[in-house]
Amino acid sequence: MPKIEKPDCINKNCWLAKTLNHSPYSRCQYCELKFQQCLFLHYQIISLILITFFLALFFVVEGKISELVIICIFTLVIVYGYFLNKSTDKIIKANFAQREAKLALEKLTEKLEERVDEQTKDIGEKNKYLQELLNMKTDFLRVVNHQLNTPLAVMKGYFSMMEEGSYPPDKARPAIKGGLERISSTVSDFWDAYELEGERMKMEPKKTDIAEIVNALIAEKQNLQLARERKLKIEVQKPEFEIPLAWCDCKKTAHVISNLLDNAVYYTRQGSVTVFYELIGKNYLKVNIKDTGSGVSDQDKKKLFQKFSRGKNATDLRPDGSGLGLFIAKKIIEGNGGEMVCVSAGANKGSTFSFTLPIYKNQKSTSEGEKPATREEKIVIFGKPSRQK
Amino acid sequence: MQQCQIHDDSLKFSRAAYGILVLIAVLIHNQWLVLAASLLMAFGIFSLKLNIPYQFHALVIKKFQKEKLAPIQKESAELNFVSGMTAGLLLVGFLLIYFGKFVDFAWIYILIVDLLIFLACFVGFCVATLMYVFFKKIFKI
Amino acid sequence: MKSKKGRILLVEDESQLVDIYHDFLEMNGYDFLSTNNIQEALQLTEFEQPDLVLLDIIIPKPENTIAEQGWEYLAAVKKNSQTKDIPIVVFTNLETHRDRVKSEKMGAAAYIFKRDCTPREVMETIAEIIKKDRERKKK
Repeated sequence: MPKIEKPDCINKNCWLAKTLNHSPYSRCQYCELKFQQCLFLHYQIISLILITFFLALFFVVEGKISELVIICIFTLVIVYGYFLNKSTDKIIKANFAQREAKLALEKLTEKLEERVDEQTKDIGEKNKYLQELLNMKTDFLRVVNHQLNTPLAVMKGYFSMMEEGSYPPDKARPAIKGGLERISSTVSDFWDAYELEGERMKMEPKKTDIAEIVNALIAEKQNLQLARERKLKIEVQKPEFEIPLAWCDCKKTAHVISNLLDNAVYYTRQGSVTVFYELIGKNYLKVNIKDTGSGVSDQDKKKLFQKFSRGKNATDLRPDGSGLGLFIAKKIIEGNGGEMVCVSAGANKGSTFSFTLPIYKNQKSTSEGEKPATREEKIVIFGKPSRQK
Repeated sequence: MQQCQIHDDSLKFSRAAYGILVLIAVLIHNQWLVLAASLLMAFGIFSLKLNIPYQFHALVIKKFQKEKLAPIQKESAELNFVSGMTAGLLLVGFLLIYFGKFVDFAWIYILIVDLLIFLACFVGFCVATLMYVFFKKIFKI
Repeated sequence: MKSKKGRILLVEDESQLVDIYHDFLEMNGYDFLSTNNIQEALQLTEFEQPDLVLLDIIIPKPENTIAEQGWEYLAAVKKNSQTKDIPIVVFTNLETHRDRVKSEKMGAAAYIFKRDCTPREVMETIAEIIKKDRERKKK
């Protein structure tokens, strides 16, 4: 039996202990019974009653009480009481030990439950993560399938017609080449998107004339078939200030602007696409591309820049979208030290996509002297200064 | 209520001592011994320190004990009451004998009181304590 | 008779690609050897002493499991004193920066990203490397 610590508490259930304000008997400290249930009390009462009864009986029957009788009765009561005392002591201590054990067991169970919860939380989180990965994979496969199969189908079509002889090879060739380029760029995009996961893409910033890029791209987009069909007005709003040079990766930023302009054209059924500039403080140039198109609902805004997310009705206007364009664009802008936002009054109320870029203030490129081995280059000859193709 | 720490075994010893004293008195029908016991107990009304057998056991005999038992808490008022009650009962018995009234009954009565002392000693069943609790309840309420 | 322009060894498992380069390079006056087996490649490199090796990295093992055996080949060639001076061009579809750096560290002469290059571009690179290599060997 474990050693029982002497508790300082008084049995709150027992009337006797409460009144006396201490435990009348040593075992009372371990007892939790009510006074009415107290074994000892029962003994005491019964004993007193019996003693009184027998003495009275003797007195009535014999006419007197012999001392011997008294001594006998009391001896019996005392001896009996002594052993009762000892055994009730043992019983109560045993009960107490049992209660302690139960408490300890409960505590242990609680602790174990906590531990299990902790572990399963870990598993639960991993599960969630795996589920997300699974979803990503499904998205990925679905979109890849679509994005790759479409140009393949086109190419196959032209090629077979060319084979049959029913389509002139001169016309088929550029179409097939276009398909090849499209598949190439899709695969690049996916690579970009996954490489950018959680990291900033490596930028090669240099002095860039944004205005020039924008003007060139606008001219290009004005020639898009879709823009001409819809008679969209694509133009630049010249600001009052002189547009400063930016410090950013030229090629990638151009990619971003092109992407945003494409989006604007695709998602605007009629009206205009306007590019205008703002200066943010002394250090940042903000480029805004405003359209009068289908806008972005509040629901879509939350997932706008996530991978593979497409607006609810996006497929109506651009069935081939991969859902990666804005994700990549945002990562590129952030990699250049800027921010990208979208402001829209709601569905069908147009939208303005803007991004900021740091202004060129004689920053020095940190990658001078490094061997150029970025993803962009398809051929790199080692052991000599920059050789790009 | 004022609490104090007492040694349970010393208390038992003191009760046994009183019990034996009174038993001898009854067996030899000596009322003076009864008076002596009563007076001895009466000291205990005022403080446990005046309870001679108790102190004897606590200070002297305890030194020879190998295991030290932990003291128990008890209310000092309870002990005082118990001493007083017992002393009083014995005194009544003595007076009955002294004045020659109900002598036989008186001896039986003293015997019963004595056996109650033994009961309290060996079994821990103290009628006086119960009476004390009873009175406490009545007067508190 | 060894071609004047050079002898090229292509280590590649994709047979259609081998055919394209076989035709193109032979048409342009190069000697062309090819294999899809690493062991054979090592032997050919040592005995034939090509002027340049185009090395694919992802070459499956004989049991058809995917493996990047190209790196092992590159390491072995650079260790062998008989073959360490032959320029090796990593010719692969792996496109991470890490892979480029690894090729350079292991002693490759150049890195060509297969998917985006036309045979002509590859040939021009080969020509340049062989020219530089020959100039270096003369010194």
